[in-house]
Amino acid sequence: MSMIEMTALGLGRKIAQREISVREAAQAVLGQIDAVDDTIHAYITINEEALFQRAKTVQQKIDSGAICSPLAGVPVSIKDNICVKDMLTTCGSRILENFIPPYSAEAVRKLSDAGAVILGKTNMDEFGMGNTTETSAYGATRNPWNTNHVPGGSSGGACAAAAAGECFYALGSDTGGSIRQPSAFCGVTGLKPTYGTVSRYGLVAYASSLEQIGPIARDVSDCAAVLETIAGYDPKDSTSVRRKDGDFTSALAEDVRGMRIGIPQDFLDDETGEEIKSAVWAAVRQLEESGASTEVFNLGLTEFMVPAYYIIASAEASSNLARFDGVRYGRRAPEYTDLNDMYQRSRSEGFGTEVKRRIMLGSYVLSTEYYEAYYHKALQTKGLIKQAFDNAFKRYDVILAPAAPHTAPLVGAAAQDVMKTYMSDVHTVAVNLAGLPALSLPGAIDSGGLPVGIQLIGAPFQEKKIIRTGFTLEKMRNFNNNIITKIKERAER
Amino acid sequence: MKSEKITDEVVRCIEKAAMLRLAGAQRGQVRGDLEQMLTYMDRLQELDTSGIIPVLHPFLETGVFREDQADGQDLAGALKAQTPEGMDGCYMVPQAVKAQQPDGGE
Repeated sequence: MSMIEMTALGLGRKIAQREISVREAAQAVLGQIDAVDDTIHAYITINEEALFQRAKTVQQKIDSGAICSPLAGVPVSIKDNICVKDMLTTCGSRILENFIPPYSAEAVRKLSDAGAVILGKTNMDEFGMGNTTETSAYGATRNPWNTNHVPGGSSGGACAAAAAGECFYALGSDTGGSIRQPSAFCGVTGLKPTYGTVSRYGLVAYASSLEQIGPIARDVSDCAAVLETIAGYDPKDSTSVRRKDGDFTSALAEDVRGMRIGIPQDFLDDETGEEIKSAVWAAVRQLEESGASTEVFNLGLTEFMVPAYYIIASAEASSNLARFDGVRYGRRAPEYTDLNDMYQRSRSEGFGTEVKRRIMLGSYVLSTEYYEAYYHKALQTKGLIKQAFDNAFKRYDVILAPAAPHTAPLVGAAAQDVMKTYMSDVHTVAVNLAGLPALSLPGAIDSGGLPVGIQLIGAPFQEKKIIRTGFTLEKMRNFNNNIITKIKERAER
Repeated sequence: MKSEKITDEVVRCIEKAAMLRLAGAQRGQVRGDLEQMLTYMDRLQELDTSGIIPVLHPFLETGVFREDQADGQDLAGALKAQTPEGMDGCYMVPQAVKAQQPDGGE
């Protein structure tokens, strides 16, 4: 196994044992980025000089014993809507083409304190609005498994980088599936924590009541270790929750005996591909063989999940993105006649079509005449969806479902049917509406050679149950989801 | 309830509220998109939500407060340095309030 194929924890151990230096790890992954990123385009920004300076500093701290975290010295990529001090943060948008944050997100600060070495900022759908990474103003990212296909989104750059060996792990964000779906499309593992578990301080807001920062990595153990590092109460985030159970790696046990697994029949409807369903049933059989009990049930409300999500997310986005007006930061239009003209030109020139679409939808559903019919109604629907999950978790420890109704579509397919693209979020958005934790991990490779992801959903604050279940499934995996060497060879041909 | 047809007038109102200005062809496309999206979202009206309390935060029922104390961070200078146009620590923007002339004109 080459160095860049190692897991984050595996590399961390080698660094701690002085078998590999931090600089060597950084050089190896930069070599992979040089070899493949012209094709995959996972990154928007890489700062090589800062990277090696940081590698030197971290090595010194490891050598002196000042840092002994299991992730010390391991190179990580950060999604470009998460602030990193002094590093360009664009959110995939022209309106932030020149924004360099004067502070780092709390999650980034925690990783840095643990000795992480930040490689750069990964590509994403503009402001998180999209599920293909094609709405980025900086060009689309390609799926490392087949570059004619999208990586998913909005954390498409992060997932593509993790799959392609362009980082050892990544931070992404998930508002309606933006960690889980691209993880499924790229054959990596991604985790969206319970709402409030990871501080949103420094995460550029899209829909504040729905989103969380989370890890993307090559296995469940890495995700658990990263979550353990970035989770925790933060007084700078008023939605941050005080939790006592931050030892997520203690759940890394191959044992699901006695666990009750629920499979929602309504997530396995005619719109879900047959190979997706097969992967779910295969996982069900594996868990049964391992001592879990499984049962099919009706979750209900599935036809209302996507409408409720898009009303709430767009409403919040219209408010959150009002700050981008060319006054205090970001791009200002070069020509304007008065203040209102400056606002309108800066925003219209700086935002892409999808962002404008959602801001306008959000403004409409929050208007006086339509507030009750749409926004208020959607919040009530959110309450019912939460109730449905609460009822399900009285009977089950974990819910097993697809992460997406299909594998990664072709580049360009999403633009042809916007509503179909929105509706493909049906397996993920309800988790955000209910604030639940969920893990996406590889379940199969389809007949076209593309990864199929499965999703494990937990009750609030029950990350350990989904980690344990995912770890067990991972140990039984009978296919190879490591394509790092293959894509390097493909790029070099 | 069926969504009202999204007219050009409605789109212009939304543009104003959203501080956006769409180009001519884009306005037509967005109008069609909004119509389609709202028709899809109208299905929420099929759901009986009588007596259901709207949910903002999935777990917290009350607001969160902190002590009214400065935290010692001094980012003002760094934040002001981000502005596209500034002077003497101030943000420069076009004149917002125009002076009124004695005769009532601007």
